[in-house]
Amino acid sequence: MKRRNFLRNTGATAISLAFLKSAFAKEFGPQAAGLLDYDQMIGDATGKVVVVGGGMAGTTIAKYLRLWGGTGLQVTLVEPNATYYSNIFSNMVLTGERTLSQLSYNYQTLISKYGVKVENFSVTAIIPSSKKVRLSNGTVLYYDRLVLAPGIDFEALPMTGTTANKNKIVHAWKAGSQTTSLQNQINSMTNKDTFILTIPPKPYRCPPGPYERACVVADYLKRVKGGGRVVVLDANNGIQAELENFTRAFNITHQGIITYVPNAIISSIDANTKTVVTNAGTFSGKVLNAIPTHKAGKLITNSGIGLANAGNGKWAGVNVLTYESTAVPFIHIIGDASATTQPKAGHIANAEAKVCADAIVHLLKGEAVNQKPVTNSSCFTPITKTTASWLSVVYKYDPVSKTMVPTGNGVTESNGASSENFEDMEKWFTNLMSDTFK
Amino acid sequence: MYYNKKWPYVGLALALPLLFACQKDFAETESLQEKTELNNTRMLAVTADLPGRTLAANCFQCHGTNGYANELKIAGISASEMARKFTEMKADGPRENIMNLHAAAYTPEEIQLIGDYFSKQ
Repeated sequence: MKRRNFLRNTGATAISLAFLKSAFAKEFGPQAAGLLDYDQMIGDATGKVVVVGGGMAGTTIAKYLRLWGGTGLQVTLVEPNATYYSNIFSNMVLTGERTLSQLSYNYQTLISKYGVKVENFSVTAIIPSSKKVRLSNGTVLYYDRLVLAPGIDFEALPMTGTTANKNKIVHAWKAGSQTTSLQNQINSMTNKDTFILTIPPKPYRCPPGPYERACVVADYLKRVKGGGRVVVLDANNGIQAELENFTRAFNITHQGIITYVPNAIISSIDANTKTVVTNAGTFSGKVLNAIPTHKAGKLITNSGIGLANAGNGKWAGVNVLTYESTAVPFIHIIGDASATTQPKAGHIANAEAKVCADAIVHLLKGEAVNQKPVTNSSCFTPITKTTASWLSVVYKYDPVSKTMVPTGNGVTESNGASSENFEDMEKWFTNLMSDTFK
Repeated sequence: MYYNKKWPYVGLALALPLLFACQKDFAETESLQEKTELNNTRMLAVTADLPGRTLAANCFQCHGTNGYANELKIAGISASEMARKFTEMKADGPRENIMNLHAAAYTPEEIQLIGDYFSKQ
């Protein structure tokens, strides 16, 4: 601290910068010296941003606020868990092709490389009038801009049964202990058994994800158990993503294993007998994987400050130029918890985070924000142990509807599943996770 | 001259932590903070606010931050080469390769900005 005060008082900064710039110019030319321009190098955005939630959206924005905003921008990430388990690829944990530890990420690079401060606590209160949040350890953090990225939460299932039996009915839609539980249950199946997967009404996280799960579980049962059945009970009126690819996968690739039932709205579940009653019939199985109806994370729905102002009070309305709440100023909501025309998924959460980071940097500089944001959603989905398909779309801002609209060819699925796509999928995953966590 | 070609790097390493030391204190741990600031300057030197940055950021997910993925690296590709690749990809069916779909979504002006960005990485 003593040295810092000394430098501040003597103005040594200016001297050393000028010296450095002239030396750099002499060695590498004036263009290279331009890289050392003081404002450009450290950014002139100053302020405090608190980011809550260390998933794909929250981690990306914490990194990019520092990368694009510079060191004058103080970024604190509030996330109670020290480890993040990737939802992407977690269906392959169910079939033993990946382990949870291979899908684990932490925040050390955010701290050491980007200078983000990480608080391993949860937020207990948001107080917009004084622009502060309170943490579970009593700490109070003040913000100029608050970014909330709490992801999803679930509605309760209409379920009866003993507590022990209820605990066996998992969603495994947030990677972690439930993933391990479901993996063990699937592992205990024989070729005479049935796996029941229930899909909630849209919007839910990762539109192709449930259909992917049906495929990889069917592939596993066929390969490892020599058969079995997968019954997909979809609350929606049809397949929600990659209609052509999943129709082919269900009817041809996994023929005789997968039964797809649309319009299956659940009225009750008996956890003791693993029986699901729907308006499309009653179904029982050895393993029941029920994914409940989604809503935004509790930080949004229980905030008490009106953030859940969209989608029947379940999601946060935002301005997609900035992701600022349409209810409360200076609070931004990114990722699955926000209500936009974009899907709820990790890849696009990363893209939304970058748009929001760029907007916050401009706002803190007192500048106009980008009026032409572009995002993209891309998702590779394994269909078997060695083949994959993909779904992708590029979104651009439409100033008339004030929404992000599909552009180019629109929402597009791959021409079938292939081993080439499977190889691309592994590169996609590695690089997406690095762009987010490294 | 008594110094060798490496001396500006030494100067950089010495001077930059001092530069940032004058910024308002932030991290609790001073040694970690100094290490962080040095790393930050390396990143920030290549992430200047070029006009194509927000467009190019849509490439980072698969091609790495600023295009520096181990596999699928695109950092340093010239703008003309980038434009040529986009033209090729646009000509192929969007369902045959995910990049064809992405290429078709960008205007020539946007492709120029993206090319400029990665050529300067």
